[in-house]
Amino acid sequence: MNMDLSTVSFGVGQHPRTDAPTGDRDLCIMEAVAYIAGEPWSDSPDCASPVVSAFLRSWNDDLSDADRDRLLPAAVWVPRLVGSRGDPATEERRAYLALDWLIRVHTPAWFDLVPSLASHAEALRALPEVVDLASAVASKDLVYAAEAAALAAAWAAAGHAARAAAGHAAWAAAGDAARAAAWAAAGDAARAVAGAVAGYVALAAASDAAGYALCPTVETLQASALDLLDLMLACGEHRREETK
Amino acid sequence: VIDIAALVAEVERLQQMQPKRDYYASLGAAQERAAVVAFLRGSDDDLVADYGDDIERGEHRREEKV
Repeated sequence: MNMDLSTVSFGVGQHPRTDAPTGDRDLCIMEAVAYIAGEPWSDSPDCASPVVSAFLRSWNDDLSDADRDRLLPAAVWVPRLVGSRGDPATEERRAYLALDWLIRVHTPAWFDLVPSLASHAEALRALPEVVDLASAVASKDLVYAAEAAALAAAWAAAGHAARAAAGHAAWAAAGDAARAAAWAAAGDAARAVAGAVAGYVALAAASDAAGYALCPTVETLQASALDLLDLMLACGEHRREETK
Repeated sequence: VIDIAALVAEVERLQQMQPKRDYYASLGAAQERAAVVAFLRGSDDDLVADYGDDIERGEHRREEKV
């Protein structure tokens, strides 16, 4: 398939099938991978890592056009994504790289903005790397405690301190439910983080700080997410080199 | 004695900051959501993987994957 990747700009969401995409916002990053690989039109190409694909579909859609162009240049990422699907062990390793980043990098970076959450940031950073089910489950209680603290700080900042107790109870209930199954527990810990930390901390940190105070953290985490993406892809690339 | 004028000014100041906070919080959540979805997708447990689907479809309104 012919496409000048150096001129491609990705668009948001799924796009209608086209035999000749222009690359002017008429395909997302994973649709470009399917197209370049010669696969049927899809945002879930068979040749690509399902874990990395999920990461990129989500990130592709949440970024502004300007950030997407800056962070996800097609010429850099599409060639690495074609053929990136790994064996089950590789995909699992990639999944834990994402969880580890959430727990030990992303969450503490936000907590650094709120003095009352500093100890939680330190505790999360001090955790051993989350590499498997056991280490994921072992980190769960600390993650819940940190999330509860962030929620309490946010609600206190909003003048609803009394509701924080209800928040603690909700998190405790979520923790009990998560103990039902090990993988579900790890998944629940991840879900607890989803969409929560940035919002909580933004509220907690905002009583005397304009939104711009959050900008450096966002930029740092965008760069860090690129490092995570590189790491997840490199994980499979190294394995392929080893088996040659 | 409550300084009503100061109180109103403070409320207005906070209200003006709200869009900026929301904007940067949403930008910050982008990386967070991507990593969560990626992790959940890596599970061989259908229930856990479905969490990832829920987040993707809920947040991004992408159609259900076949």
